[in-house]
Parts: sequence; structure tokens; C-alpha cells
Amino acid sequence: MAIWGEASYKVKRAITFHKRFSVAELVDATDLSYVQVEQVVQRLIKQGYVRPLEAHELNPAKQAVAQRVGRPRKRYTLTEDPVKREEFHAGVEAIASAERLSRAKERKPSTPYFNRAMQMIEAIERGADPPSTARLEEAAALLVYGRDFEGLIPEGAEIVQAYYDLAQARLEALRGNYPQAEELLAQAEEAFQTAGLDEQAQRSIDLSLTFRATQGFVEVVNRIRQQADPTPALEALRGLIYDFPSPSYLLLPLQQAVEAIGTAFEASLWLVTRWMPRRWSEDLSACIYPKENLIQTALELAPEKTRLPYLALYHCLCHEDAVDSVRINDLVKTCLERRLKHAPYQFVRPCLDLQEDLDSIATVRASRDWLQRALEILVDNAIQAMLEADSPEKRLTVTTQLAGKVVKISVKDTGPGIPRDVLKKLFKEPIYRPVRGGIGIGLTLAQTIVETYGGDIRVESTTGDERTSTIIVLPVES
Amino acid sequence: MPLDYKRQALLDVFCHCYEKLLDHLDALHDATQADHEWSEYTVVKECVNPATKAFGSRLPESLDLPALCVDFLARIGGSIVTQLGSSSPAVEVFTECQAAAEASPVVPEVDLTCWQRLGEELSRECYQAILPADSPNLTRAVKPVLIKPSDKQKVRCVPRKAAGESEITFYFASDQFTLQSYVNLPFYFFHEYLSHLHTARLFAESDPCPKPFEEGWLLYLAHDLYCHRLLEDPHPALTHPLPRAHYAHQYIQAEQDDATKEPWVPWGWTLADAFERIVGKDLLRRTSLLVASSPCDHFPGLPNLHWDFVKRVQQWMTRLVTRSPREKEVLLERLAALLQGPDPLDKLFDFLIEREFINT
Repeated sequence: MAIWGEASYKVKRAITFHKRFSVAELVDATDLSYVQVEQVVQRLIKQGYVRPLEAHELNPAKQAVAQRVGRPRKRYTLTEDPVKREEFHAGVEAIASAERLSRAKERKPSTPYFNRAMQMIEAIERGADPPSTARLEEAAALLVYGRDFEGLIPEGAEIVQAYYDLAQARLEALRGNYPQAEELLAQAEEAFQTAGLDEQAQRSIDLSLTFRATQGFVEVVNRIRQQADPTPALEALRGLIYDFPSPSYLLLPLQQAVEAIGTAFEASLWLVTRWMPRRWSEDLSACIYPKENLIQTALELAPEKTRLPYLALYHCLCHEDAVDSVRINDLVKTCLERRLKHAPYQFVRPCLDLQEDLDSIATVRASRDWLQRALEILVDNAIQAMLEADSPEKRLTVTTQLAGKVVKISVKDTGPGIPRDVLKKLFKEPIYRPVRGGIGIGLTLAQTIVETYGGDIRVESTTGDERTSTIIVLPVES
Repeated sequence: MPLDYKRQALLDVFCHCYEKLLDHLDALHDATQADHEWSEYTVVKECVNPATKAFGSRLPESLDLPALCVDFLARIGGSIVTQLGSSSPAVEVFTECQAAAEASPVVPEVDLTCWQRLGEELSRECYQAILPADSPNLTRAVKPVLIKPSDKQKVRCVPRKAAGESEITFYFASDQFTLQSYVNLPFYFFHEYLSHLHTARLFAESDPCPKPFEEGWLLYLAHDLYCHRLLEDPHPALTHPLPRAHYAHQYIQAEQDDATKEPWVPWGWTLADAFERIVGKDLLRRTSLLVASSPCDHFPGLPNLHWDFVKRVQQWMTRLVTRSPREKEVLLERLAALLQGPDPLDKLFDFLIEREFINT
């Protein structure tokens, strides 16, 4: 049975919605017993907040019922006395406010101003938008506006303001105003710790460390600009890079560093090849994709998008990472298992035609992670071709074969095939397809990886059932 | 995807049986007069709703609508007998209801567009107090309601105010379609039209943030206007006004008490309620419809007019507390006058930030 105070609140709350009501209706609205509701209503009548409706006040429908039965259930309404009404509503609101206060810790910023400001900040941080003054000022104004609104709901306002402080700190870091960013982070950390939100407090601390590292990074970049020989500064940069908890914060400073150094190719070679903290190489996605993001950034800034930078970069990266004896059949199975479980790849029919004894008689000396990435690129290209063309049969065939001293991995699809004019450009220039995103260098990356380990890659496009075949050839480990 | 045949059959049976049950609610009310523990509503809650849940949780094997109808009603009847006793007058009433339902044919592929049209008509009548009949807001193309299966029942619309046809979708969850859901169908559609489809461009449609004006304040207005059409100025199509009003109140309370929602929506509702207690129903309605029919970027440099409106109302109400009763009366007269004069929206916003009332 609900405690008395809780029953009273439930009945009063239901009255604020019903305005005119019977006890039966309040019973239905509150899930309390008839006796409980009746007692609360009678007490509210005695206190002058509620009164019974007179017969002439009942609407025609209810009057008809009254006439039919002769003993209708009574209906009630709130008093017309404005003072009593306000007291009643204030009492209900006070308890509702207390309830909201109990959930205050869960409150997060949700105004359109905050959302828009965060979109802008995140876009600048990941390099999608330039950090122009106008953009940063617009984001700052949105945060000010948003704070103003969040204060209208007092419950949980301190926690919401702490989220704003976090956002503001990221904005100040983008402006290069690191001391203010640190101050805001300290404020946010304190608010989160007081509220017992340890995860958020930790995030403030992580951001603080990142900003300190970024500040150091920028100072070194400025020194690089001023010096004829950037080597010592670049070595200092290498040490700093290990402090970054997340590669996304590195992208903008990296662009700035590359611009400062002037020779994009050399800068990118230095930074990227000596960059990867070892702790990230355990997780494949952390190992491969952030590196690609950085490489893409560096390549976009390179003065000539020729094949040489691609080859050199990947060559250094691939040699940087540990090479091992790789079992090809196992590699193929792992790759397909990873790719085909994601939508919309589930609609593709995979066919494996692997030489059964291959793994027991031959291995390839290479970085497993990078080789798997090359294979993923080919698999993705094949599947995307079939999905884009909506081929009636979406069949992906992967075969492995030992042919003398080489292993051949073939990826065939039933897509529409590659037009002749595009075939000529393959491996020579980016093949950009807007629907797929990216900058069109996937196949070139795959080729560079394979060539790093002494292999080769070729593409054949026919008019038969299996339209396009991409074949990787790798030397067997002696 | 549209509703499959089995779920459509369930929806048809539910609508048919609930319509008959609605016709007998008054009789159930009479039959439970003597019993303080039971009312027509408790019968629905304790006997009908569990039957709905049980009946709707499994898709039927056959599409024989009369047989499904008999099955559903038998479950309800059994529950009433078990809980109220076979000698209860409610059993007799339900038996009559059952007979009426079984004697009349179940309409296959029940048409919900009648409720959609009613909702649209009610909303249009409200807005025509301030907008011309050929206003773009009121002549926006809206497709007939789509019914889709879902595990959570709701009504949602995609306004498409920039171009194209707006859409309303009714997400049917077969184990959640209670009598309350059926009775509230006109209200759901009315709210969609009043708050989303007939309004101006209140927001970027893809913006995911909560909207205290659209979903809080305007929901309050929709509830107020709907109850007015039920109880004070009855609409002929809204039969059985008292249970309709009661279940509309239930729906609103559940929405406001939903702890999973952001606080902005109940905040908007509470604000509208408080505003009405100060200015009265008429000024609430006129002010709300005026603001709702104005686009979010009406004022240059103010991209979210409706967020700003609710903020200014709250600040205005805070300042009003310090005014004398006479000053409040004067202010309300001014508000009424400016809403009827030229440029009412501009004057309204100026009124809400009256400089003489800002404390220094």
C-alpha cells in the first residue's frame, strides 16, 4: 500500500490533469484504492482546495446519468479561489521539482544551441571544417545561448553547466587559449566529482592532459618554423605524440605542423612513421584506421599526389610494424568473418574455394594486420560494386592457391565490371566514387601494402558471370 | 512496411470490440455503482487490458474475424466473471456487449483515416481563428495515415514543411492497443495536426533536440482544446465524451510523467498550465496559436523563436509575481488588445520583455 504522502501527491497530480473528476476516474489514474483516493479528496475538500460540482454544473452527459440512476457518483473540481488554487499547484510543483532533483544527475544538455555548437566543435576537431574565427565565434555564441536556457530548469543545472564547461574548454583549445581551457576543465571536473559522476570527471582530466600536450605540440611547431634544421624539434614532437589519448585531437595540430614544416612529404614521413604508440597496435581498428586518417591528411597536403608518397609512407609503416609468418587461409577466413557480419554485407553470398593444405605447407612473411587491411579493401570494393549495381546475384568468391613459389589470393565478384577507361587509371590515380566516400585511394593502398612484402596485385575485368577479379600474388616464405 | 494480414486482423477485431465496449461503458458505470472497488474504468483496467495483452501478444493462426472476435470477448468475459463474480450486474452488461459485438460484422481493414480527418478538422477550426482557410500551413498535403507494426505503440508524423507530402504513421503494437488507445485515436491525430502539421516551420525537421514548445506547450493546448470540444462545445463525431476526456487525461499524464523523457517537455507543459492560470483560457489559446503559426526564424537574428518564446514567458511570469492585482489586470488587457492589433507577434515579444518590469 502506498504511503500516505505518496498517495496524496498522486491524487493531487492526477487532479491537475483531470480538472473535473470523479473518485473512480482518479482511482483509474493513480492505481490507488478507492478508499485512499476518497480520503485524499475529502481532506482536500476540508482544506478548501476542492469542491463538489453542483447538479447544474454537471455537463448534459452526466446529468443524463444522474437522472437514469438516481444516485450518481459525485464529481469534483478545483476551487475557484485563486489563492487556494495557486497553493494547490505550488504544492504539487514542489514535489515534482523534488522528484526532478532526484534525477538531476542524469540530466545532460539538450538545447538545440548546445547540439549545434558540439557539431561545429567536433567537425573542426576532426578536420572536416577549418577553425575559422567566424566559426569559432558562432560556436561560442551558441554555447552562451544554450547556458542561458539550461538555467531555466534549476534541477541539475550545475551538472549541465559542467557539460557546457567541457564544451567551452574544447572550443578554447581550438582557439589556442589553453589556460582558459584548463580553468574550465577544472571547474567541470569539480562539479562532476561533487555529483559523483566519476566517468565524466575522468573525461575532464583526460581532456586536460590532451590540451597540455597539444599546447606543447603547438609550441614545438612554432619552433620548427623558426629553425633551419627541424630535426631536433621533430624529435621533440615524437615524444609529445605519445601523450595523446585519441588520434582525433591530433589531426588539426598535425595539419598545422605539416604546413609549418613546408615540405609536406618529409613532414608526414617523419610524423607518421614514428608516431604510433605501441599500446594501440593491440587493437586492429586503432592500429589501422587512425593511421589511415593521418596518412590521408598528410597526402591531401602533399604537393603532388603521385604514387611515390603513397609507396614511401606505407613502406615505412609496414616495415615499422612487426612482420610475421602469416597463414593465408586463416587470414582470408578472419577477414570475411569480420566484414560480412555488418549490414548490408549480409546480403552477399560468400563462396570460399581455399586450397585445403595451404596453411600447412606455405606461409607469407608480412604484417598480418596490414595484409588483412589490403584484403579488406578488395573485399569491400567487390561488395560495394555488387550492391551499387544491385546485381541479381551477389556472389563473392575468394580462392587461394599455391602456384609454385607464390600464393595467389583471388577475389571475384558478380558486379557490372570495370569500364575500360577506368581500368586504365587503376593504380595510377585516385578513383573517386562519391557514393562510397573516401578519397579513392583504396586500391593503391592495397597495392602498396602487397608490394611492400614483395608481392603484386592485378585486376581483371571480364564479361562473364564473375565480372571482376582482383588477384594478389605474394611470395612464399622460404 | 504496411501491416501484415494477421496484425491487421487483430486491429480490426480490437476496433470492433472496443466500439461496442464504448457503447456499454455507461451501462457498466451503472452496474458498478454499488461497488466502491469497481467502476467502469477498473473493469477496463483489470479485465479488458489483460485480455488485450494476452490476445495481442501472439499472432492468430487464422484470419477468421468473427472467430477472433468471439475469442477476445470470451477472454474479457471470463476475467469479469472471475474477478467480479458471476452474479455481478457487470457480467450482464458485458454479456449484452458481447452479443452486440458478435451480432454485427467485423469490418476488415478498419479505416483509421476517419479519425485522421477528424483530427485535421478540429485543428483547422482552431487555426482558422487566426489564419485564412487557404493558408499554406493549413493546406499542406498530408498522406493518409500509414499503419506499421511495432513493439511500441505511438503516432508519429514527418511534417516535410519545406516540400513534399507530410506523413503520419500509426505504429501498432498488438499487445498494447487497449481501449484507451482506441478511444484516444482522435486526440492523437488532433495533436499531430495542431502541434506539428498545421504549425509553421518550428524547427529543422532533422534536429534531434527536445522541443518544449511543440511537445510540451502545444500538447497542453491540444488537450485543452480537445476537452473543450468534448465537454463544452461537443463535436458530433466525438461520441461518449466523458470516457474520451478521461482517457485523454490519462494519456497526457503518462506522457508528462515519463521519466525517460528530457525535462524540457514536461517543463513546457507546466509552463503553459501556469500561463493559463494567469491569463485565462482565451488568451492562452490566442497566444499559442499565434506563436505556433509563425516560423522559427520570423525575427532576424533569432533562429529559434519558439525556444525564445517559452523562455520569455517564464521570465515574464516571474516578474509578474511582484505586480499588484490592478497592474496585472492592466497587463492582461494590454495583452488582449495587442493580439488583436497589427503585428501581434512582434508586439507580443515586446510585451514579454517590457523594460519597465525588468528589475534593476
